[in-house]
Amino acid sequence: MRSFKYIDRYKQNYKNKRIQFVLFDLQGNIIESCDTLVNISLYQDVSIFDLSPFLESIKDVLASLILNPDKIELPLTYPRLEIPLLTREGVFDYSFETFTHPETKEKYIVWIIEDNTDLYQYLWKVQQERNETAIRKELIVIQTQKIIQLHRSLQEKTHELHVKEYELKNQLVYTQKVQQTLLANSNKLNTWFADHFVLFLPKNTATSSLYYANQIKHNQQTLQFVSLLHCTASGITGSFLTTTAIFFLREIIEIEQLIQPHLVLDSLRSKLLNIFQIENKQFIENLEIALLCIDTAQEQISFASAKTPLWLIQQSNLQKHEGSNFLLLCPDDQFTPFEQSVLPLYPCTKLYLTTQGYLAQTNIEQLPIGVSHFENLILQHAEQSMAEQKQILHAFFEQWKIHQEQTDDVLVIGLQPIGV
Amino acid sequence: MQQVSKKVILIGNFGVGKTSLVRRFVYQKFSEEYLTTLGVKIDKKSVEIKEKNTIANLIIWDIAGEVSQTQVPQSYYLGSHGVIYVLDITRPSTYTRIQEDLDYVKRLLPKAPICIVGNKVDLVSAQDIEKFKSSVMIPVHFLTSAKDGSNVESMFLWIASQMIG
Repeated sequence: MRSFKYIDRYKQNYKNKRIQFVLFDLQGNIIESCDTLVNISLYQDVSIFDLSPFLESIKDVLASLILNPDKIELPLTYPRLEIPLLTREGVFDYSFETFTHPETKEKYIVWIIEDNTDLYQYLWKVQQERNETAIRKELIVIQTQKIIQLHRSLQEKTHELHVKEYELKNQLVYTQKVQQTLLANSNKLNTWFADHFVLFLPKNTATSSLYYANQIKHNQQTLQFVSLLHCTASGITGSFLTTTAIFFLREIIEIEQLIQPHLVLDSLRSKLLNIFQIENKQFIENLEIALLCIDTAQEQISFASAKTPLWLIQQSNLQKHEGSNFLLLCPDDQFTPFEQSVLPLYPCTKLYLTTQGYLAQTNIEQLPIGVSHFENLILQHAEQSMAEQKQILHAFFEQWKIHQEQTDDVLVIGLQPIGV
Repeated sequence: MQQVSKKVILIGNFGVGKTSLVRRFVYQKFSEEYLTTLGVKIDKKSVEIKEKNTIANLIIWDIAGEVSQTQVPQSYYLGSHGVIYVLDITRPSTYTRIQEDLDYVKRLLPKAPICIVGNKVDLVSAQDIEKFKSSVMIPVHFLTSAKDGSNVESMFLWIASQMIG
C-alpha cells in the first residue's frame, strides 16, 4: 500500500484538532482517552456519567448497547450537540460504539467525539436566516389576514350603521311628521287670534320644542289655550318627552276639561311622572313649559309656567311674569304647587312666549342674545304687525348667530288676542 | 427524600420558544432575540415534588425546531422519560401537524407523558386564545409565557410529577 508521508501527517494533525476517542465501561470508569480535545483522563477517579448531564441522561441507553445490542442500531450518533465538552465550548457530534477487549472479552463503550464547531457555525447562520425569514413571512401573512378580516368587519359594521342611520332618519322623519300633526296650523290660529306669529327654527329633524294651541268651549265659555314646551334634553329623547306632554295636555284640557293653567300643569306633571315611573328622583330629561288660558269674554289671562316667563305689552308697558321657578318634573322635595297669575286683558295686548333657544343663542364672542335684547326688540316693534315682528326677531337672531352653530331649538310665539 | 434523574425533551416547530422556556425555567432569564438552536442544548435543574417526596433532577433536552418531528434524530428520543410539545399560539403553522407529531412520538415513547404547551400567551388576547384552543383540537395543558414567566414553573413541575409516576 502506498504511504503518504506528508498527507498522513496532515491527516493526523487534522484529526487531532477535531476528534477524540474515549473508552469507558458501563459503570462509567474511563479506561482510555486520547485526550486530543480535552483531558478526560484527569477524571479517571470519577464516573464519566457525572461529567456531563448529557452522559447522565443516556446512561441507560448506553447500557442497552452492551446488554441488548439488538435493540439499538449502531453506531449510536448524537449530532450537533451545543453543549460544552467539559471546559471546551463548541458544537460536537458524538457517536457511540461497542468494543470487545480481545483478551478479556470485556465489553466497553467507545465514545467518538468530533468537534465540528466551524462547520456548524456556518450552518447555524444559514438555519438562522431560513427560520427568521419563514417566521417573518408567516407573521406578515397572519397580519395581512387580520387586516383583511378587520376591513371586512368594518365594512359590515359600516353597512349596519348605514342601515341604522337610515332607520333612524326614517324614525326622525316620522317623529317630525307626528309632531307637525300636533301643531295647530296657521289657519286655526288666524281664527282664534287677531294676530299672531310663530317663529319656529328647530335645530334637528325631531325637535324638543313644541307648542300647543286650541280653543275649547267650557260651560258656555270660549277659552283659548296656548302652551309652549321645551325639553332640556335634545334629540329623540327630548322630542319624545315633549310630544308625550302635548298628548297629555290635549287630554287634560280637551277631554278632562281642566281649565286652570296651574291645575293643568299639576296634572301634566303627575301623568308624566307616572308614565315614566320616576318617584322622587331627578329626571335627566326635564320640561320647561308655559300655559296660557285666554278668556276674552272675561277679559282675563290665566298663566302658569315652569321656568318659562310670559311677556305682556299693554298700553306701551312691558311686563314680565316669571311663573314657577322649577322645572315641570323636578323632584318632590323641590316641588310646590304651581303658581297661577290672573292678569287683566286690555285692548291691543300683545303676549310673548319664548324658549331658551332664542335667548341663549351665542354670537362669535360666545355672548348670548339674552333677555334685554329680546325685551328691547319686542317693545320697540310692538306696534308693528306680528308678521313684521317675526321677521325682525328672525333677522336679529340670524345676524347675532352669523356663522355660529344654532345652540338649540328656537320657538317664539307672539299673540294678540281677539276682540278686546 | 429520594432523588431521581429524568430526561425530558422539548420538541416543536422552530421559533415557538423552546429555548426561551428552558432559559426562563433554569436561569430565570428571557431575551427577545431569536437565536435558532442547531441540534440540541442540554440543561439540568432539580425540582422538589413534595407530594411524591422526591427530588427530580430534570435533564432538559432543548431540541432544534423542526416542521415535522420525524426530522429529529431518533437518538434524541432514546431514553426520554417525558415530552414537552411546544406550540406558538401566534403562529398556526406550529400546530397544523400536531396530531401526526404526537402519533409519531407516542410510537417511539409509548410510556412517556406528553405535555402540550401553548407559548407566547403574553402576545394574544382572550379572544385569540379561544380561537387557538378551537384550532388545535386537542387539549392544551398549559398556556405559558417565557417572557413574563407565567405557567413556566408549573409546566415543568407537572411534567416532573408525571414522569415520577
